[in-house]
Formats: sequence, C-alpha cells, structure tokens
Amino acid sequence: MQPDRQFELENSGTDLNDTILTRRLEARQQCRVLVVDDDDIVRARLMALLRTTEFDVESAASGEEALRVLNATPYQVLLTDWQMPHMDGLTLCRNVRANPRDGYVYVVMLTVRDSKEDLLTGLAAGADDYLVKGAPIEEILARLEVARRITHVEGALRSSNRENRRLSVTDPLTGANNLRYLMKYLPRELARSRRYAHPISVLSCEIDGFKQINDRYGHQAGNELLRAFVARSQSCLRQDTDWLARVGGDEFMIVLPETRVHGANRVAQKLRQAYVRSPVATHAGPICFTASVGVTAVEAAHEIESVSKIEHLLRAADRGLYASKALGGDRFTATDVMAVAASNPRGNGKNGEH
Amino acid sequence: MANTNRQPRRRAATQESPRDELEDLRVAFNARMEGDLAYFLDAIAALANPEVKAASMFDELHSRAHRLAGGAAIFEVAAIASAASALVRAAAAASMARATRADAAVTGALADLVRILAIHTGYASGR
Repeated sequence: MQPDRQFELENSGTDLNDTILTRRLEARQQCRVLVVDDDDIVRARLMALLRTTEFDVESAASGEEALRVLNATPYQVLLTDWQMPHMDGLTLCRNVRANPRDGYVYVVMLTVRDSKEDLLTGLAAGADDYLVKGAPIEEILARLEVARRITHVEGALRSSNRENRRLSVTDPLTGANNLRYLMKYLPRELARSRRYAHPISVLSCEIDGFKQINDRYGHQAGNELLRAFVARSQSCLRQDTDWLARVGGDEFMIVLPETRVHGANRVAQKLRQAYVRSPVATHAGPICFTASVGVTAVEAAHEIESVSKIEHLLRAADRGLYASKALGGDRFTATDVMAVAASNPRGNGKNGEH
Repeated sequence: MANTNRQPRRRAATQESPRDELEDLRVAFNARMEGDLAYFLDAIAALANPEVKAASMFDELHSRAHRLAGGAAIFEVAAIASAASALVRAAAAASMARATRADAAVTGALADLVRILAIHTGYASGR
C-alpha cells in the first residue's frame, strides 16, 4: 500500500476512535452502585437517595455478601461502611483491590469514623474517596457523581484500548490479521505444537502479477481484489482453528494448526480452485486472478523437536512460494522445513500439480 | 436486655414515588429511635445494677450507639448523631481502660444522648 494512503487510513481510524470516545463520555451511562452497610435502614435510605439521581443500585448487608455480589455482577462504584460484623469495609476494600476485575471498581468509604488517621487508613486500604456519615446528602451525591464520571472515563478508555489492540493486529484494508498478529500468534501456535507434539502447516501465498493488475486497473480495483482474495481464502479454512494474515502488499500467510503436509496440500489445492472459480467483480470490471502458494509443515516428532523458530517455518513456506512463482505461478509447492532448519541453502522443493 | 430493634416498614405492593419511599424510611427510623431511647433508658438502670458486668455493658453500648450515630447521620439528625458518637468514644475508652460501671464519661454521654433522643422522639413532652 502507498505510504500516504496508509497514513490516511490510520488517521481516519484515530478520528473515529476519538469520536466514539467522546460520544461515550457525553452519554450519561448507567452506573451501578453497590451499597454495603449492616444497618438495613441506612442501606434502604442510601439506595432510595441514589435511585433519585439515576444510579442503578443494589445492596449487600456484609463484606462477604458484597464480595459474592461483586464476583457475580460488575459494579462501577462500591459505597461501603467501615465497621461491620465479620468482614469490615477495610477488608472488603483490600480484597477488591487484591483481585482486580474487568472494570475498575471505584470505592467510596462512608463511615462514622472521622479522625485523620481513619481517613488515611481507609485510603491506604484502597478507597478512592472517604466520606464521614453526617456529611450533607448533597455532598454524598456529588461525590458519587464524581465516581460516575471517573468510572465512565475509565470504561471508555478501556473499551477504546481494546479496540486499538484489535486494530493494531488487523489489516485495515482487508480486515484480515496483519504481520504483527502473525509475529505474535505464530510462535504460540508453534509452541503449542511442540508441547503436544501436534503437526502444524504454514502456507505462503501471493497473487500472481498483482503489480500489473494494479497498473492496469488502478489501486482501487487492486484493493477490491485483495479483499476478494481474503474472502475466498477464508472460505477454504476452518473457522475456529486456521487463520490468515496479510504480511505485505499482496503477500499472505495461512496457518493451519493440527494439519499435516498432505492436509495442507489439499487446502492449497482448494485455495487455487477458489481463486480461479470466477472473476472478481470490481468497479473497473471483472478481474481474473491466480496465486502462487508455498506449503510447509512440521509433523514428525523429530521435526517438531527441531523446528523451534518461526523463521524456519516462514522461510520454508517462502521457498515453496518462490519455487511456484519461478514455474509460472498458479500452483503450490511443498518445502521440507527440516532442510531449511538445517540451513540447507537450496531447500528441498517439490512442485505440486497445477 | 430486650430486643428493641425496629425494622423498616416493607414497601407497599403498589409503586411508591421516591419521595414517599424516603418519607416512609424516615418514619421507620424515627420509630427505631424510640426503641433506641427505650434501650438507653434501660442501660442507665443496668449501669446502676452491681450484677451487670461493666465490660459487656460498654461493648453493647458501643455497638448500639455506633449504629444510632450512623443512622442519625444518614437521616441528617445531627444532634443525635453527635451525641451518639460521643457515647461511642466514651464506651470505647471505658472498655479499653477497664473502667467501672460508674465511668463518668460513659454515664455523662449516655445521659446526654437520652435527653436529646427524648426531645427528638417527643418522649420529653409526654407524647
């Protein structure tokens, strides 16, 4: 992809994220508050007050009950008394901090203990705010509004980060995984293969003559072709186990866990058939295409033991790809990974049928 | 001593407005304070009884006054919250010092609390 187009896409993604974040922050989202107090009438009053200001409120009568509730349901705010029988508010607070949950729990301690030392102890236990019972109700509600704002910002950032993490391993043009994804997850697949002595195959694919297609039909048609390539490739893969990553302009890697070389060859054959099945409809008209594929696999116990680096796998698959291209494309070639692992400069390429 | 706890009234089956609910809770809290007053009056008598153990009495007073202090603070009855907190502190200090039943700080705080509770609940005016 052209560098300026890449830049444009990346920036449009950032703008979109900012907009989503702003919208999330503007909306007055639900805020779930768990009120913890051993005095039922105090709990009832706090709940009634909070409901008047659009908090979604539940209650617990003890620290133990609060932990059970928190473990079952996410809450943004915990409003807890200090002195309670069995598990007090301090212990509850320490427990919440020691076991982080998916979202941050903002803890407000509400107690009759009013000394400076108590306040410092409460904050040290992990409370975010400390209120003395007797503070005006308006102040309690105002502090909880602060809690609502802070937890919303935290939630919005958390979800934005999650989206950014997803985008960081996704190719924006095709929606396929990208090189970063490959470099992150292929070592894990290989490690799993070694641990359980299970086979794994890797296919290296490239669209034949993609540069000429781009020159002839334009970049937009080229992009449409890349998207069609990904869609057709994915239709040949097992949904839950196999995966594909775009690693360059028109270069893709396909990972087939639990697959021996003959299985990988069958997939390569299916891919060839899928590519040539019908022309790709683009805005510049229908485009026919073929692809070259390199196949490699780690399957025998001694191979699984010896092939410890993903470079061996990738290089072996690439050798097969180059061999296929050298023979005119539209074919697949299997390469022995052990030959690459042993640093045999020529490898051991065997051409597949076409 | 007799259990004088009063539970908040159950909400009616029909949907109450938040204002009604808050009012109901205040009525329930006032009723509980009447029970608290009865308890603290009994406590004054108990402290005069030589058979009552001071330590357990102080602990009981501490616990009951603590609950009252918290409740009164949340229901914004500052005078009672303050008097109850004073009794909490006095009872804690007396318990730690292993004071006698006649501990002046405890009896003084208890008397103050009873006086204020009596005024607030209407007991003093003979209602």
